[in-house]
Amino acid sequence: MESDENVKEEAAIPKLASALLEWFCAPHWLTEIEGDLQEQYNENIEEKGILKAKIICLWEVIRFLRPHIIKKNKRLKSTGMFKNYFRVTFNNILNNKVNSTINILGLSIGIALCMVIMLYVSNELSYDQFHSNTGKIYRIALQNDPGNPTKGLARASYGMSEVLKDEFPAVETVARMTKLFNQEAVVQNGDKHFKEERLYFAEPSIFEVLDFTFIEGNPSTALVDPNTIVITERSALKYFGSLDVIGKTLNVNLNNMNVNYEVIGLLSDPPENTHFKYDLLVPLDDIFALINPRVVRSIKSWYTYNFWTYVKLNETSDAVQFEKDLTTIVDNYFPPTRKDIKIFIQPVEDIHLHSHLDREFEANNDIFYIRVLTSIAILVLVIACINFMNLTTARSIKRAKEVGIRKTLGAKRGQLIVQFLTESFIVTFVSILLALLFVAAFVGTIDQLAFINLEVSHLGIGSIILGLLFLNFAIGLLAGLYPAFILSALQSVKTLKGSFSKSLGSKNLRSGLVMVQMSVTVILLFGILTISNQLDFMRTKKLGFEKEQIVLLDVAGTSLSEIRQNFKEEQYQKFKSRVLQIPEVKNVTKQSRMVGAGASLRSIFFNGISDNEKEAVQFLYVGHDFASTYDLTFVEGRDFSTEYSTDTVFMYIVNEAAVTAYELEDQTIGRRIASGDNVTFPGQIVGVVKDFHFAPLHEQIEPLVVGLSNFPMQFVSLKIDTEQLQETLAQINAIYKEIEPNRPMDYSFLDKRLDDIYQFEATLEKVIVYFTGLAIFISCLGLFGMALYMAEQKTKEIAIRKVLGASVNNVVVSFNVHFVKLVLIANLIALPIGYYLLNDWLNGFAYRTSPDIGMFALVCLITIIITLFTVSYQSLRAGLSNPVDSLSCE
Amino acid sequence: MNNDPIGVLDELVLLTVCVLDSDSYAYKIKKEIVQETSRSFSLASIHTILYRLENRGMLSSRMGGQTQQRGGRSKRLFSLTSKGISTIKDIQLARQALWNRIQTI
Repeated sequence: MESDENVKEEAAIPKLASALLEWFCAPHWLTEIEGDLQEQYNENIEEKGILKAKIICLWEVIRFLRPHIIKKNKRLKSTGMFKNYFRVTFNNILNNKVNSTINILGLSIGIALCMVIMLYVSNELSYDQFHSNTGKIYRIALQNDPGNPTKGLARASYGMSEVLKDEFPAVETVARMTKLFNQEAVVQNGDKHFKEERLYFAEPSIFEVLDFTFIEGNPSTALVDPNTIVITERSALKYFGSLDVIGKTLNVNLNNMNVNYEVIGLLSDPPENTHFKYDLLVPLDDIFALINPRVVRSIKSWYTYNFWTYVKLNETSDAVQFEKDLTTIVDNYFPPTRKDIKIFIQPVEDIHLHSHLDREFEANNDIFYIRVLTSIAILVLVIACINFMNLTTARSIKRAKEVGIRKTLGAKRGQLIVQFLTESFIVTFVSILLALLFVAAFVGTIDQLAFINLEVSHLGIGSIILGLLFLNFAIGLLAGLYPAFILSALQSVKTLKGSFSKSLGSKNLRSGLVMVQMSVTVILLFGILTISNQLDFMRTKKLGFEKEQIVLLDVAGTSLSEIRQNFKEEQYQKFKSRVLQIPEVKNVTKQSRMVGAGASLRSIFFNGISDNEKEAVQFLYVGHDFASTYDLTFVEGRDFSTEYSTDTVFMYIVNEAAVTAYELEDQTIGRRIASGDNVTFPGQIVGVVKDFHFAPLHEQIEPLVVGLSNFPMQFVSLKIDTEQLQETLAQINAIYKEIEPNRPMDYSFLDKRLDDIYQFEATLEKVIVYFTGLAIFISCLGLFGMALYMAEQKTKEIAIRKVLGASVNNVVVSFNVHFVKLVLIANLIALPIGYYLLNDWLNGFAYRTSPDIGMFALVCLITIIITLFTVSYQSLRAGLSNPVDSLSCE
Repeated sequence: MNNDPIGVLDELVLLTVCVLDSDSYAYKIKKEIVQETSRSFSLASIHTILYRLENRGMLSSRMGGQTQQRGGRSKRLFSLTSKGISTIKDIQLARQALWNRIQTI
């Protein structure tokens, strides 16, 4: 405690205030202003207390923010230079039209491509993220084939829901949904009737688990009372032409029963990015009124899996533990024959990209393709950036004098770096604008080409702009950093004397970059060749059955279940005999699944009725003349035929694979076997056919049993002569209408339908073809630019060579050899990488091609030809130039 | 009259500089004006006016007078130039003339 004076002295003004003041205040005012502030501060402490004094002080400092108090700092001064940078940039762009075009075009194509892919990918990744409970919602799925862990069922047994609710504290809510097997509902309002694929029977709790938007109606009463229906906006407009639908009636025809439903709720259309898309929802229990009690019992049993089941776990639960606990359900409830079933859960947001089970709501995408596309986007962007770097450094020859003069006039290296980065940001910005134009112009076309849905709405304009700014910054930096450092490091004396090119020791690096670029192109090229090769193989591979002349009628019968309502046997027989009178119709049969799309597993007793040993085997229900309609080749035995009085229900045909797998060689024809869980359908084998691809080519040919039955089946197939296609179809339609007046005839051609199975790969092929084309184009731009640069740099060298007797030929060859070398090395590096990557993809197919030496050679050849084609223009021009022109210029 | 017009606050500042004579610096001027007019001003506005008036040649300044209260920093001490003096005089004269012509108030 020396004196009051000392204390006062030390009470300096708040740090924040003084720092702020020092930051902006012109130095020649600083002392006096600080002095005044200090004096006032000291007095205020005494008068008003320290806190108030501080606040006043800070406020006073802020008030000093006035134009002539603020210092004229360096940063503000160099805005003048920025103006200059902008001008120089635009001059440069305009003065080097070829170069700038290559640069900006390449970059903008790359960016546009990247944007399109990112739009698509972000849409795919956004699936089911919008539910308010995402992260807690899981779907219950079954793995019913222990030998094949990647396969499973997306649906579960009816009783599972109650057990989950009662015995698992982790479960907060359970919701079940189902659909009437393979049948489509026909919904009708007056004269408007449509087939509805997206009508689901659901429990009211579904509104608690997943997110639905009610426009009208109450979620707590919806799906509660029988014969009430909740519909989406789209359906409302479709049936009523307005959104004023509450209280109106819709007639639903399901399973040949007509039921009137009262509309009690109106929902927004489901978003594009959900795996569960619906049009109409009706109460779950209504389904049981539609089918006979015996079938209801079967549907409700633990044996059958007809219900998509979603659970919402509570906050504290552990999903991993929950999944483990699910085994108790198998132990306690599943029948003894089904103990090998495993129950697992799928997070709702993972279903779209990770789930490939039986009975999905819709065909899902695969995360693999998302990764492929993302990699392509990045690779293309890298190619475009490399172009930019290469062309900019190559052009530095012309810029070197500018750098020299700027340095002489006092520019610091930092300033030059800022200048060149500014340039690259500007060019990137222009490219992004151009890319946006490209995307806007072609987005519709891309939709059609690739069948992909480019949805922008869920991203929001803010994140798009942020994303673009980030892209601008990232590309600008990536592409501009290297040239900026190289150019700014030039020594002014050397550049002005003209001996700078040696100091630009970046030739190797440029060659390296070109090589990287070419490598990426090679990988993409190799990829596209391999993929189209595989797809061609699948399209043309002999499937072992007739597919060209088959018309499929989808009569929406059922396969596995015993519901026998639609297109019953007598209807079918009548239809068959009538249709066969048309001369173009060669053969008629029916079957439970589309041939080529797979079969269903069913229990088969290969050792007769007495033996209880059963196997789960791929199984098809068919009608008479199945093998002859599809031209299957018999190894032994015969087709099912009405000529044999013994060929009534249950006779069997097996394929060769079944004979080998289940050791039926000793007695095949005439062997007594049975199908169904309880030896329900005994019969005998009448024929063995050669293996045919009843399932997609992704899978091996498995053992197959084909059983003759009089059940109604989903498909009736007609083998026809396609000469008079339209007339024949019209005749068939007329007969169909007479026999089944209630449902319109739904026909398709088998070969088209089979192509649809490979739709996804075909789309991928298309997408990659276009992307690769663009990538190659961008690479070519880069090569062209490099050649241009080299030709410029070597003008004198070439002239002297020519003077000394070199021919045009010599010059062109020596010029091209450099690039061919680069391309060859790129091939050497990239082909193994490409092979490694593609082999992985090919392994997903049971019947796959293998890239052979010819393919490698082809890629090599294509890249060399493209390179020569691109470079030769420059080399020829250089070779043909008159040496006098380039030597006499000084 | 002087054809270089100034504002009311400028006039107040000039007058205060005159009043304070040899110890007129921004903070003191501010205090003085606040006291006389019971209006509040920020330091910044006083500084700005002072610098502006100096620019216009009505004030001159020199550095000096460090005190402990100021943390040892010197003040900028202002004094009126002849132009400054004639300016306030002119204003005063004009005012006086007008006041004189007022009959009743």
